[in-house]
Amino acid sequence: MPPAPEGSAPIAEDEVRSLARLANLDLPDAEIRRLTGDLGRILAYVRQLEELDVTGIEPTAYVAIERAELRADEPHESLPHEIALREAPRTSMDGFAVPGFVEED
Amino acid sequence: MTAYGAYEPVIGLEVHAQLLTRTKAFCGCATSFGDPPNTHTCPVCLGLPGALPVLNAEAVALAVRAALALGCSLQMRSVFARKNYFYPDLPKGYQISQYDLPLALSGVLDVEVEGTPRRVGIRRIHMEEDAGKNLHGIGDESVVDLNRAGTPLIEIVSEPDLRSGAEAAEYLRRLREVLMFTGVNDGNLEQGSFRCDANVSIRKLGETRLGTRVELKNINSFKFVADAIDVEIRRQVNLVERGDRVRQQTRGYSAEKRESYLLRDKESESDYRYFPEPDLPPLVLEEAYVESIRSALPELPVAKRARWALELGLTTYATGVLGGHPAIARFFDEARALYPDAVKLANFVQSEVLRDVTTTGLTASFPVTPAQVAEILRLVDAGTISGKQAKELYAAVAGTDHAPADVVRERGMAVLGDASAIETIARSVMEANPKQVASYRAGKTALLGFFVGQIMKQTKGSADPAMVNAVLVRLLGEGSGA
Repeated sequence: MPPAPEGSAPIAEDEVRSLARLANLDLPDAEIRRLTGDLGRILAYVRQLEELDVTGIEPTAYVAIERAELRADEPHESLPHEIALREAPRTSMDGFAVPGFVEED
Repeated sequence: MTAYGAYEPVIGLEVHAQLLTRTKAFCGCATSFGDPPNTHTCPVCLGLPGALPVLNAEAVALAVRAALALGCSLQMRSVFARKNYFYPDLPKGYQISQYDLPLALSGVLDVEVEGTPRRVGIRRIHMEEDAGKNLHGIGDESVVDLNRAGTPLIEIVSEPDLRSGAEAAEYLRRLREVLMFTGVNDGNLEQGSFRCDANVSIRKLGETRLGTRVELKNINSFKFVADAIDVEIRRQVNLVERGDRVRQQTRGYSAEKRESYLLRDKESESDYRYFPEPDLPPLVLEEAYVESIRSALPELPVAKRARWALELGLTTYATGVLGGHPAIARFFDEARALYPDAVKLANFVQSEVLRDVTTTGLTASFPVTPAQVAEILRLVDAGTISGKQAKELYAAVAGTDHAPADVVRERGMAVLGDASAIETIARSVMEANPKQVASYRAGKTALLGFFVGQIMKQTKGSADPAMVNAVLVRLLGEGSGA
């Protein structure tokens, strides 16, 4: 996010709307307004970090573990079919029933 | 000018290739194709809360092998990222992929199109997981099978270096071949283990900026790749020529209608909000590990074919046929170890054996073994059977584990090349046909064919024709007084 000018609102309503859409949330206007305020306050708080000088420090995403442990390519037992489907809201023909879609990948 | 008038097409390809591991990328579920739906799933690949991914070592090894075979520079530290989007075949709501720190960068693949060599850049190779499959669409409903979810893939992204559908198809063929010869991928387009998307744009000749690109999805047949891309290029040229503009879109291709169709407008496409996968620490490679994979790389298909042409004197056609599939190349190499004349061997394998060979992925079913082929050819060289009989012998041996020499014996196929045996038969034929002998000796030498035919009849065609001729000419000549 580009640094916001001092005192400007950290997030606008249309940005919240677009985030809601990406999160598959259908929110009424009142909720959008409330969230814009809430998120704005959170962002303003986090913005304090901008005061730190991080020149020359690599972005850090992992602290505890330096590198991935790898797993041997040996098959383990999978879940029984009925257990795998048990938590599905809807099933059909041995599979997870979902709204119709076109496979793209 | 190009084939597209004043416009130059610019094409880049993204290939998704399934890695030939036994288990999925991040869990121990078996990778499978065609098994009953949802029988290879677990909390990790179902995306159940609290399940943690652990990376498959073999997937890393295969991805590194592919990267090295394609001349990429490996990133000794690469990072997995979450690509967030909602789709019914994606149980977690994100795909584990790599983003700004991929496994490998900047490789090359050399291709040749209509005799012109082209070097195609490879921008990056990254590791990721496959999504599930849509089993059936019934009315408004789809049914999802998650057996494939979590299967390890590499995505190979080319530079936008390709300039026609034919070049793109050739790049794909060569890429598929490299992945198959290195045992990374089975090259199976029908089963979707090798898939391709193409980014296509056009620009005015001389322009260096890229035009607006259209992503063509899932052009999963070599037959259609070139067509699909050419059709899309022409669609874009037509748009621009009528004063319209190309919109950033994702399009599919209909082979029946020979046209591309809109899947979705990219301009409204969701933002994937990539961020580092918190459940997977960075993948760190050691120099020694990479070197051990590099030193174990098999000979690549282009090098193998060039070597066969140079060292064995095979034609380009023969090297292409015999060196186009790893299992066929292996068969030829194994037979060659048992039979030294590579040209004879290549001819026989091409004309007889390959007719009966079917390939599925990395495997090929051969009706004979390399040892059987070598033995057939040795029997010809030794004069035991004729070249024509070799075909017959091949047919008799095919599909059995019989030794060709045994079959020759059982069937009495051996060429009768023993002069004294032929002489005995010739004398008995002459005794039985005194009139013809007299006519021959009186000058009607065309009757030689009659005697040859009689001998062949008696020996069921197994007598060496040259020997029969020589013996007959000698015996018939003896009493002619000529």
